[in-house]
Amino acid sequence: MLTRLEIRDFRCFGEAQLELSPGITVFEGANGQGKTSLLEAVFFLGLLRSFRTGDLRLLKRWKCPSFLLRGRLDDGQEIAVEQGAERRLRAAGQAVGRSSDFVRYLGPVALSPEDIRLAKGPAAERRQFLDILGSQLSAATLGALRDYDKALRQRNQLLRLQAPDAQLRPWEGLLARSGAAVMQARAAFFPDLRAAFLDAAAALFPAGTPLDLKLVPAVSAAPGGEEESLILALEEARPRDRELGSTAAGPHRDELAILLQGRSLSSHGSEGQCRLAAIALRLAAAELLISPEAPGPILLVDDVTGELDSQRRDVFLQRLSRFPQVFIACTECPAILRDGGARIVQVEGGRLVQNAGD
Amino acid sequence: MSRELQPEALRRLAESLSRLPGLGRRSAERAALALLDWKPDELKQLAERLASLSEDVGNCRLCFLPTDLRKGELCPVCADPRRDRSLICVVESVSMAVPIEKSGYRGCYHVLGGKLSPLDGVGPGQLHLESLRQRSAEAECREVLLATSTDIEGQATAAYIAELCARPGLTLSRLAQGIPIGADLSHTDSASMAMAIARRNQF
Repeated sequence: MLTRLEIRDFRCFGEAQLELSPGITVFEGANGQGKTSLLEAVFFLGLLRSFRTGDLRLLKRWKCPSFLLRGRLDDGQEIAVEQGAERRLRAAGQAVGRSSDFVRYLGPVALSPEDIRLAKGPAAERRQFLDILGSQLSAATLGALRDYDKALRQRNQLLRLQAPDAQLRPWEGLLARSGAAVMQARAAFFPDLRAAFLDAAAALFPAGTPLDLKLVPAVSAAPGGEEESLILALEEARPRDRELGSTAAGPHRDELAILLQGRSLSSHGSEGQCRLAAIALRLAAAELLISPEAPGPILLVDDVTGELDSQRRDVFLQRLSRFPQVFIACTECPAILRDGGARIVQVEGGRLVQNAGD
Repeated sequence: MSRELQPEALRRLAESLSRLPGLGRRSAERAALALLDWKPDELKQLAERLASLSEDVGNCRLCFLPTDLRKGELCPVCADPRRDRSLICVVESVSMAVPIEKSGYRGCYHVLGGKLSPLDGVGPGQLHLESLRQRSAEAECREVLLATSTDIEGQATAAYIAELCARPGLTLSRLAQGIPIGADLSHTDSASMAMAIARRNQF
């Protein structure tokens, strides 16, 4: 949980400080005033990436060489990231060398209008969702994912070069080892994710909507036998992989399927159903992060309520109160939150105004 | 630095210096400016030393460590009869051999000249691997210690060498991984700690 946030030269913010409290805080303001950028700042401080863009250069304020984000945690520790041409990380007064150690502090989960891609988009969107959640739940999984990705790109390059098997084998061994760790991690948290998804979906969808979530591994393996199965699958697929110049078998092709009446929601669901399913999936991820071993979660809600009818919107907003810390960006604070005692911060042109009485 | 303040010769020197490890463009410019203050004979000496590098220093015929060619084609390690020839420590570069040598290690070395990385255009043909295979195949060699780096490319390189050199009677070993001596446990990164726990020793 964050108790204080400091921002310098981030998006439209020059300098801003904000004391934060547990529970729900609403960032209220007209469009283009920096509400979403505040959520983005918290997200970046947590995961060193943005939920809006892959281009880090867009994040710093115009003409500034770098931006700085600093947060104080509820245990008094401070974490900070300065991102310019290079990135500097600090936690508890010490430089942090590895980003995988830094991303363990906050555990942000963002809900944004673009999330419809999660349900409607290609399988890669849902795999990325699985990978970020897996990384938040365990630093070892993050390490395995990075190793896997690197080894995969190296093997694909060798395939394109038509290199002999002796050169492929070392990379396949590393792919199998890291890939097995990824598969095991996914299999371990998936039952909890499914249960939390069904629970959230039951609250958001009309009663009796036959939804389900399924993890479909690209390479099936007996528990404990993942590494061996991957080695065999990679060896078997070599001739075809050589033709295609890419690796067909492995957890990078796993599918997280959202099913409606047993059929893929992405191709058979309506736009509205896809939006609701994406919200349910994000809430489920946040639910999993409520654990003594995992950080946070800090829920960042970017105006997704516009897509819900008033009844579901209230159900959704009530559900947010179960999370330790929630930041919501919206043009006008919904009555149910105002009445529920949410804190309101006005955002105007990159400046923050806290309501009197806070 | 603006172009007006930087004559052509100075800029070219800074450009060359910036290729050195640890020197960015700015520090290379500062180093070049500092050289301006040297006396002509000091500069001349530096230039002579640089010129003699390619003539006097080359790679050891056996292990590819840098060596003084005027004293023969073997490096001091390979030429020393007291070094243990049954043990070959494989490193990616000379700089990685330095801490191993300082540790009191008494075996021999083999410098690969890099690590496998197809994406960077480095395959087995770009590394000193065939010579390593030949050395490890000789009867006096009993162990190859794979001291390549711990990243994924270093691991792949070690795995490739292990397959390349494997033969009965030859031990293939890897540097242990874990917590540095004297390290503060509360600041140990999680990956090193996980390895230290997985490979813990009996007390």
